[in-house]
Order: sequence, then structure tokens, then C-alpha cells
Amino acid sequence: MIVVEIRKLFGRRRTWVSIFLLCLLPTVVAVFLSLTDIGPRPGEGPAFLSAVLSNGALYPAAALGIVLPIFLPIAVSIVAGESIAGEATTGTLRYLLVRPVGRTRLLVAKLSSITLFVLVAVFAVSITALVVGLNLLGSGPVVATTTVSGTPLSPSQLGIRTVLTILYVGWSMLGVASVAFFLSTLTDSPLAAALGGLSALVGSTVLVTLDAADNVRDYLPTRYWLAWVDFFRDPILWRDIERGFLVQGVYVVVLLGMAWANFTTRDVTS
Amino acid sequence: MSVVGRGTRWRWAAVGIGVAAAIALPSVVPSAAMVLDRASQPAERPAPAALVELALASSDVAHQGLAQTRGSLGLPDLPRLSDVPALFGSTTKTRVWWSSSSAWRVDTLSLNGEVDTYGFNGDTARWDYENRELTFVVGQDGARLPRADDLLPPQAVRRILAGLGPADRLEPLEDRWVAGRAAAGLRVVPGDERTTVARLDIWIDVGSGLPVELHVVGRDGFEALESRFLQLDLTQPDEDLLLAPFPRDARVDRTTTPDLAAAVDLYAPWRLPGSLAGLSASRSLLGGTATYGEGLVRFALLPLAPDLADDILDRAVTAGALPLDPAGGEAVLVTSSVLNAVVARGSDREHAYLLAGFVTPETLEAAATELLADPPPRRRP
Repeated sequence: MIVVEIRKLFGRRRTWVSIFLLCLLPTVVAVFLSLTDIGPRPGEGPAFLSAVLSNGALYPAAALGIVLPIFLPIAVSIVAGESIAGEATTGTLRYLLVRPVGRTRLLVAKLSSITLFVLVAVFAVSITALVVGLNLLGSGPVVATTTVSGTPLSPSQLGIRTVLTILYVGWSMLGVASVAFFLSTLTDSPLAAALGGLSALVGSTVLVTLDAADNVRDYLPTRYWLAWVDFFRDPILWRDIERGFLVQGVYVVVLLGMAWANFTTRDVTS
Repeated sequence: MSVVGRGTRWRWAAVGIGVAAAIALPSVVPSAAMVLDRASQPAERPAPAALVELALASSDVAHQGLAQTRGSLGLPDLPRLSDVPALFGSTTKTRVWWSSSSAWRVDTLSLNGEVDTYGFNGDTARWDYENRELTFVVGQDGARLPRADDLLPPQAVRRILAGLGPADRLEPLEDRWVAGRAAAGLRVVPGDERTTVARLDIWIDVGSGLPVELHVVGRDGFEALESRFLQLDLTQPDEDLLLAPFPRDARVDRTTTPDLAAAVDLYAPWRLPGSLAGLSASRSLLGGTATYGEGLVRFALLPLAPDLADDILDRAVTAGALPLDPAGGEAVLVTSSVLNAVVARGSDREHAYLLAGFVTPETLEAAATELLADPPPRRRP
């Protein structure tokens, strides 16, 4: 069942188009940076973007910073929002469940395919950015790859920290996916589920910046999304990363629990 | 009729219990930990005066951790004042490694990088990741603008407590759970009406004497500044962490005047008066700047170069500063919750000053009026 769902998701052209578009944006940014040599000023733009002009090896991290706030959540939301509601819209959900397939099993299969999509998307962006960064942006003997604390980073240390970043960003995206996935079990409209997921994301992003929401800030889903920068400090600052991991975990568990409670007990009419 | 009816209730009940547990856990765990920590400590808390002594003796207590400072002063963005408005008007997150007062490191974190300050034997090194700049500042005896490390609870509290006067009142406060440890509370109520500070609420780790949290509340009732540890470990930091980095592609600089205050202290030409607005100069007047008053009634005086004074006056007026009408020149008043400032310029357009501190606007206005009425002479022929 899981393999079937994964095959179905990755057999769709639009899945690959969304991954291609996610990779395209950092590539376009890298082309502009390499042609103009104009990076963002300190304090502006996504993390590491000012540093990649002299060091392309950091571009995977910068690329994740570019797609993380908007484009990656949109792609994830659309895929997760479509998972159950899409079947309902096309009228295949009832037939799926007529077969000897448990609802919980179907949910697990859908969830597995979404998780794989998130990982593939994040890895694809990182690998594309690495290739583009090393070929178009700065490299050479005078370039020092350092942590943001200024201490040297060996290629293996940089590789490990980049992989940890990829996994952390992937885990963060599962929170958005869970919201859209839950909404997908509530409605027959994939668009409504995807937009619902994005609304939760936008709402959380607004509240995170609001001083008046200080008491709830640490529990918002996007609060620790950008904590992946802490992988590049020396020593690594684990506090926000751990909290981000836990907060996303709670959202994932609760929302998937709600999706399960709703989907396994609802009337499927379409 | 529903085809799926059974199980609905218990499934949603299970989800509800999970949600309740997730919401309750963050508040239950610290409360339980505080009760356990409190039970393992002596029942009697030191008296407020003893807490002050403990805090003042804590400058060499080794510690490492993460702190957060939140200022709400809303200062205008005046030229050459570096990060001071941001420091007092926004949230700053810092990492601290403190071996002793002569070996420490404080990192100011941002989403795009960090600015790290290393202190060693009276000198400092400043690493700025985004500008890839390493600056060594030699000698820190003179005046300088506030830095992020000055607002960390231990440094800020020690500075405040060192200047307490006999009129200032000390009161005990309830213990508080700060950064994983129970801390004893202390309230300082200033006795002098000339300060804008209504009270200071301080929490101190009793075992080490290290101040761990500070709240500064203005006379308007608003909290102007909050500084506290989020994580704290009372262990000696690794020596390697206290060595400034030396990336080979970084720009390296060496200076004795890292900011406006330091430059003014070195080069300002005026011999400043021994007292202003009834407050005596609180340190040597050999430099070009001065501070007046003691404890919580204190302000700084920075003479300004004429062109810089023009620039600051223009920006201050644009930012909504109130014009004053002193004899012998012009002046504007910039007010915030607890920190007030006056920018004044003499009729000769040569004498110009910035006066700022936790004192009432009337005190600063009186000081500016005295300066403009009787301009100080040159300190060098």
C-alpha cells in the first residue's frame, strides 16, 4: 500500500514540476549573484546569502533559507492537502476503501508518501544548490569555510552540518504537512486543505513577530524554523533546535491523531 | 445514517488527552523542578543586603549559558550611535562563556550570523560574521557606548548595585525559577526622585551569587528592560572557546576608539565642569566625556563635533524630539520610558553636547542650560 502511494505520488508530472520549481529559484538567485557580484547587505536577505559570494560551499544552506519561508511550505501544503481530499474529489476514495484496505493503513500510506516527498524536495534543493554554488559562486584557495563564529569548518564538518540542516528543515515541513493532511480528512476540496495549511503557516509567522503574543510564541509551529542556522555556530547551539524538533513533533503527533480520529470515524460519501 | 459510529468518542478522547498533556507539560515540569530544587536548599533565604553583597562578589563566578535581553525604550536611530537604539529597543539573544572578568566571550546572535565579543585582560576582540571583520580594541579604561554584554544580568545588576545609595530601599521578592534553578528575588526602590526608574526587580542564584534576571520598571509603570538567562551552567568554559577566531579571509583592524563615545573621550576639546544640575562628576575629568551622579541618578555627557551635532539635531527633530528653549543656544529633548536624552548646541555653534541617562528630563534640561550659559573652556591650549 505504501509503495503504491509513493509510486502514485512520484508518477505524477506535477510532483516533479514542483520539485523542479523549488530547485529553479535558488539556481536563478545564484545566476544573478554570480553575474552581478552584488550580495545582500549585512542583516538583510536570507542567512548565508551574503557569504556565498565568496564561498559557494555554503550555498545549500543559503538555498534552504531561500525556499524555507514560502515556497517549500506551499509545495508541501499542496501535496499534503491533496492526499485524502484529492481522492474524494476525483471520487476514488470510496472505491479505495471498498477494497480490503483499512482507513488507518491508508492514512499511514498517504503520510509515508508525503514524508518522502518532503525529504526528496529538501535534498533536491540542497544538491542542486551545491552543484550551482560550487560552479557559479566563490571557491578557491583563499576562501575560508567557517562557522558564523569564525572558526574553520572542514569539508566533512560542513557536510555533516548541511545534512543535519536538511533533516531539520524536512522535519519542520512535516508540521505544515500535518495541518494540511488533517484538513484534507475534513474536506473534499484539496485547495481548501492546502490553503488551510498555508493559513496556519501565515498566522503563525505573523504571531511570532508580535510582542503581544510573547506568551504563546514558543509554541507556534514556525517559531523555531530558522533555528537551523544554529548548526553553523561554534559550538552548535542545540537549545532552539531541540525545542523546534519537539514543537514540530507535538504538532505532527496531535494533528495526525486528529486526522486519524476524524478519518477513521467519518462517513465517506465520495 | 452513519455507517461508522463506534469508536468515535474514545478516539477523540485519546487525541484530547494528548493535546492536554502537550499543553500542560511545559508549565508542570518547571514548577515540579522548582519545588524539588527549593526543597534541597536551606529554608532561609539571605536578607536583601546579603544578596547585594553576594551579587557584587560574583564577577569571577565561572558560567556559560544563553541569555535574552528585551528593551522597549524606542530610541530614535541617531547617527554614530552604533547598535545602542537596537540594544535598548528590541530583543537581543546572547551566548555567554565567562571564565573570569578578564577572560570571557559573549556572542550576540542573529538569524543571519552573529557578532562575538571576546574579553581578555582588559582588551577586547570583536568578530562580525556578516562583515567578516575582526577588530581588536586595545584598552577599555575610557568611555564607550553600551554593548550587548553590558546588559547581561550579572554585569547590569552588579553595575546597578555598586552604585546604590543610602536612600535606595531594598525589599525581598518571591523566589523565581530562572534557567533551571531557583533564584532569590530582590527589589530595589530608588530613593531619589530625579531618577526615571521606579523599581528594579532582580533575581540572584544564592549558591553562586550570580544575578540571573533583571527587570527595570519606569515611573510610568512600563517595563523598560528585561534581561534574563534562558540557560545557565555554572561550570568553567573550555579555554578554546575564549580564543578569538582568525579566519584568513577576514578584515583585521586594531583600534583604541571603537565607537563615538571612545573617540569623543579621546579627542573632545572641552574641560568639562565638576558638577552639573547639582550632581558631581562620578569619574575623572581627564577625558573628553563625563558622567554625573551616582547609582540610579546618573547621566553621561558627550561633547559633539559641530557637524555631527547638526546631523543628530536634525534626526532627533525628525524623530519627534521636543524643542527646549535654553538661554545661550538651542536644545531638543528625546524621551523614552526610562532613558532620556538632550541634544544641545551653543549659540557659538562650536559647543554641542549629548546628555543621556536614567534621570528626569528636568535634570537633563538643567544640566544643558548650565552648559550653554557657561561654556566650558578648552582643555588643551
